[in-house]
Amino acid sequence: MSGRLGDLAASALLLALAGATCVGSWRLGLGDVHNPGPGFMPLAAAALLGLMALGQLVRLAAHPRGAATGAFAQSRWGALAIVLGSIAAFGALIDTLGFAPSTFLMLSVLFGAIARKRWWVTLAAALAIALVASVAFRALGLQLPPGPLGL
Amino acid sequence: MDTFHAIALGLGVALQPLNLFFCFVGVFVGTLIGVLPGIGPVGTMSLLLPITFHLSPVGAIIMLAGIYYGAQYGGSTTSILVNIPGEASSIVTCLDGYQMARNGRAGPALGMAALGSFIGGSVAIVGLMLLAVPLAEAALSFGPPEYFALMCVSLVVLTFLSRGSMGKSLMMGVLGLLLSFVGLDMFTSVPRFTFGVNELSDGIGLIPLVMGLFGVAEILLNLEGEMKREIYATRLGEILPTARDWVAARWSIVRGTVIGFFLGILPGGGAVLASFVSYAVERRLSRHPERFGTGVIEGVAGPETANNAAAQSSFIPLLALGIPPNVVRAVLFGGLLIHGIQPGPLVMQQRPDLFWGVVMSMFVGNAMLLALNLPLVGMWVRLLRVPYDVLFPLILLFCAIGVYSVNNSRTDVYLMVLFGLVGYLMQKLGYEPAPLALAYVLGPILETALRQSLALSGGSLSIFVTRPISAASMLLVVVLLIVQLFSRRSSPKETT
Repeated sequence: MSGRLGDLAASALLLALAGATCVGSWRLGLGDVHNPGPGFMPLAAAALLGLMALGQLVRLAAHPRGAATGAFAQSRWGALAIVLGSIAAFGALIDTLGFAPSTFLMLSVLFGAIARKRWWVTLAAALAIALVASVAFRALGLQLPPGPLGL
Repeated sequence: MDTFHAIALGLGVALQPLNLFFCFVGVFVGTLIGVLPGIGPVGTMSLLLPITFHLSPVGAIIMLAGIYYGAQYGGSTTSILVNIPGEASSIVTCLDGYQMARNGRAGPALGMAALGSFIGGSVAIVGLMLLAVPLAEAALSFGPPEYFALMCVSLVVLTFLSRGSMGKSLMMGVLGLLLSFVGLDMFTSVPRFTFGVNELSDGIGLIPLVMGLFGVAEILLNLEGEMKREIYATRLGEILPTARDWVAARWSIVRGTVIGFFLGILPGGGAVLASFVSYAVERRLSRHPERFGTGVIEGVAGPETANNAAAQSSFIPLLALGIPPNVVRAVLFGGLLIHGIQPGPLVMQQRPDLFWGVVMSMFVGNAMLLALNLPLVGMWVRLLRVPYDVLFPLILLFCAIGVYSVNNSRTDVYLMVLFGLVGYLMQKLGYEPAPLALAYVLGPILETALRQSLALSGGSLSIFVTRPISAASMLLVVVLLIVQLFSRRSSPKETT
């Protein structure tokens, strides 16, 4: 995706977000200037955002020459998905499995798939860090879910 | 309370063994994350915020403050030895610091960076003590219109000083405001934009937002580059600068202190801006500007002094007015709120132990940093050899634990993931996250001040132009916007 296309997409997204927020704010109730309602400030801010996003869209349309280099040329989408997915999985599993097992799984994925360590190094490092972190953070007073293994 | 008693009170608090320990932990962790590229003070402070729930408010703030100014010291080590800035405020130190290392003068460069930081930081603390009290007393007479106008100034100056397009920065500021409106309306308790999710009733948490935008997004960006880095093979040699170095750098240190102090107070300013301005000034005033970039000590002394002076003086608007001038201070603002302390002019009256304890702890912390950064520099160099592909999973783990443990909420972890992706996309497309985060923190105060002002004036907007301070502030906002609209900036600038 070129820098210009990215800017167009971002402006369109911000414009859509501003439009939706304006509608939502209107439904919340605007009140009046003596006693502004819950939708007053969100509507004002969303309208401002919408105007600026629209201005940027118009400016981009008026100057069709954009940056030739791709904004995402160096992006590693696979790695990005794995990193974000592993953190989300940590969040999804921590209450069920407990802190240490979900930490072990997250670190195994990160060390194995992104850092590309050997499998035994990956598993040993993930296990050791999960156990040490479990003990250390509990000692610091954090309330972490123990899960069925009590870890 | 007179200044003498206030200082005695502050020293009494700062020198308590437990507070000394928290101060040491703060500056140690600050130096550590300053040395290590890939995680900054914003992410680290957010990460440690949940742990501070179990500490006293004074200890917690002493520790969190130490992280920020400690990071300014640590960032220079990486810049000088590896040519990679550990912190954004140390970017310009690479220019001459690394060249000094290549010329076999890494020791004096590191020594001058640490000593300059110490001098700049110490002088700025004295300035903080002198300026914060009268400013806070003046702020007691401020009403909602003044606060609304000052916060508008803060937001506009931040976008004015941002690196890229002002339009994009303004949009991010407004987006931050919109995000701050999520949750129950504070006047009517009507849920706003919660989409039926109970966890959003209290709004989007500051920690998931900041950790996502600054912590996770930074790692996603770093994963695109080469994971290996090489430390420049050099002998540190004599760590203390020579008499000739001191003569060459003496005015750079003085100017760096003054520049850093005033740019730190400025809303939207901070350590990054101060270091860039200081370098530009030193080069402009030098008799040999062509030698900058080849390893001149003034190119290290000025910016390093300035960034630490700014790190200290940026406490003034936070503690005296209750307005965080940059995103790092916004996290500290959140920390104070979590501990039940409303930052602002009343802090000095209601919690003098906190205000003066934190201020005096900065003196202690700066002395600790000198000891940590001069004799122990070899330890930090060895730490740089830890590969990034080992570090980043650990940083992500700390982020996940930090976010989850605030409310034991998986929703917060998902929000961090979402903001990590948003932050990554924003930075790839040239949208800065700092205005968004600062506006997010200022949003509730801004809205309260506006609605209270309108209630006071019976719905008339003239209240903002009939009171001197708010009128001057609004005028400044208009001038800044007009200047920016009609001028084309010739060089990119940095902000925190």
